[in-house]
Amino acid sequence: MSDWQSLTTYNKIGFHRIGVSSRHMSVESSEIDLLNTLDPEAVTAIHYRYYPEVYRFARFRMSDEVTAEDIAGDVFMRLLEAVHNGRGPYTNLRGWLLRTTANIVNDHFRKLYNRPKEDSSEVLENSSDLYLSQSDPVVLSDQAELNRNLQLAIDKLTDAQKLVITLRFGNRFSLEETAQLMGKKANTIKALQYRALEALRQKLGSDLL
Amino acid sequence: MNPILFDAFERCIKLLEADVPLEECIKEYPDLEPELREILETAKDVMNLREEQVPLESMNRSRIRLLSRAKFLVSNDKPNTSDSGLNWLVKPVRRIVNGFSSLSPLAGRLVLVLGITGLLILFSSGLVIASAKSLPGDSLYPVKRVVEDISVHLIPNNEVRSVYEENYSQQRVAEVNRLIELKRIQRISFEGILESMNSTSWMVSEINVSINAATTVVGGPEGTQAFELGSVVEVEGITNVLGWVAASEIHLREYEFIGMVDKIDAKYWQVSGIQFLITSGTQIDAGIREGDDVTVLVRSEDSGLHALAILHEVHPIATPSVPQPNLSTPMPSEVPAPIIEEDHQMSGFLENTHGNYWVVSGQIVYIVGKTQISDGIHIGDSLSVNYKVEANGSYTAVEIEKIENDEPPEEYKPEETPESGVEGDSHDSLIVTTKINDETEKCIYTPEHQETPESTEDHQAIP
Repeated sequence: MSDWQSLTTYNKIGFHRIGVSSRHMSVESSEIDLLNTLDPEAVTAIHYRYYPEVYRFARFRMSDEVTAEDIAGDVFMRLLEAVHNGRGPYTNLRGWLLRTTANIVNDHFRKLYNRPKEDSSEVLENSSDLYLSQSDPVVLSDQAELNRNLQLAIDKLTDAQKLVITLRFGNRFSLEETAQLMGKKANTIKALQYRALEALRQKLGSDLL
Repeated sequence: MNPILFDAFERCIKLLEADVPLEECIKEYPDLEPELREILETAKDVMNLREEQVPLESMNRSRIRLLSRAKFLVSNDKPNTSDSGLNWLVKPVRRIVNGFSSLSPLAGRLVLVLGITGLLILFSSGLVIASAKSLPGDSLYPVKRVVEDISVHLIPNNEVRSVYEENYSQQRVAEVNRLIELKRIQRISFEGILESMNSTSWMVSEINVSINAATTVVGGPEGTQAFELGSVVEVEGITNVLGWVAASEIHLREYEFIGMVDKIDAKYWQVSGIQFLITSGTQIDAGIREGDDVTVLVRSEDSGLHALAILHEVHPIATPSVPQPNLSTPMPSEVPAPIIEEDHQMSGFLENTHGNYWVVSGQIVYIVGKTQISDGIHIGDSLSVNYKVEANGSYTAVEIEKIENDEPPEEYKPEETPESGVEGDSHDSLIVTTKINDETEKCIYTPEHQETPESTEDHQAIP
């Protein structure tokens, strides 16, 4: 079971199992109640509150600002559709949004790698087209190159590793928040993030550098 | 598995996030230096990927798309919604409570007993106590509101009931403040005093209320013009994390309405086509009859428009919106102060007619139900107006007659080409006659008098 799948299960079980306060649950529940009405004010308020987190998540994984914007927008459209079809989040709106963001980002990379190529070794070169256009003034800079390599390396990590790095370093969530969102204990997250960075360092050294 | 290393790494991550140099972080853990250095350098690179700025344009584009989609979904199929898990209980109870007022006295007592019994049961269960501190969105909040509704309806004394209602109204404001403090997003409704207003935000009982294009503003018969600082308004909207309320609807709760009494009934009065509910608490001036002009102090409720007071209308002094002649006619107020309640008469030309007042040679004369008006009067006709002066100095016409002879009023010398405007419009002449102790004093005012209004000696008395 992936971590996002376990998060889904944990959503259905509820927050109390991992010690989220009932007030927090009440806040998210009332947000979800309002969202169910599809009332414009409620939709605006929720979008205002969560869009930055969703955008930062997507942007951390994508070098391209436009793609990150598309993904963030797509997440909220999916939220509306899910709510309308009665398959929206029950208690954990933030978790639902970030899980959906991660899924869309992963799909994006999957499509990228599955794109028919004459030579599979060209994936990396072709993928770079999505990240930085040739007109970008920083396209040749070392930092841009390093960032691109980092993002490609992150995508090669396991789902849990990708997730922990994105939540902790992309979204700046605390250890405790990350633990809550992933349905794990704080100590587990400490170990997971360390191993994720270690794996990343190795991939950067062996695959790209 | 090395918990010490993981703890050290976590500690160093926090220091790096606080812009502490990497070397200083590592200094704290000399034994772990080799492992930490490499992994922290990678962590620093990863941190550089982070984008703190969220483009506002991107956010706005996404929001517009989202709202458009939401509107589409709602218009196609509105999903079932529920405000709370206790709606199955709350809605029937509210319906019963709202029906109390229509019951007979005997049935009322029975309901009273049942209500008290019900309240006792609720109290004994502790539900009411538990709900006392609940906020909108909490499961017990509907219980709190139902208990409030019941307690208000069970109070027989109007004054005490008003005090309770006022207290509950203040509680709503306190609840909204608390929600804002807790940064909770919640649909709310509260009533308060309008303290300031501009195009984008209003301050209502010290709560910042944002107004946007989607906000519906309901201001009674006069529309949004009726909103004034100090008005009682009801705000419906959603609290947000930024500390304000995004208003979806704002109602003017209490306002003044001026009109003519069309119909008087035991339960309602109809004033200028609008029905106002009358209760035992409505203050009504004595002697008001159908056809009279009245000022109604209105309170807008879900059940309709309630008249808090119906008072004899005292006309306002001439409003600036009335078009004045180029050389405005000296106002009767410039003559020696007229004595209230005495008969007055003036002659002049009818310049304009409005709903409840006419302009006769630049002077506004209010028309009330009792005003007797002769037939066949048209704009431009010369009129003789019998009027009385109200306490605030305005004129109310008692009788208006057309001066049938073709001759213009005395002293009136029409210009052959009035459009030229040379020497002013001569029809600005106004003849005012005041009856004091059966002695008639007539004054003729011409534009020349206007130029020296302070010189009352210039008034030409006609014996």
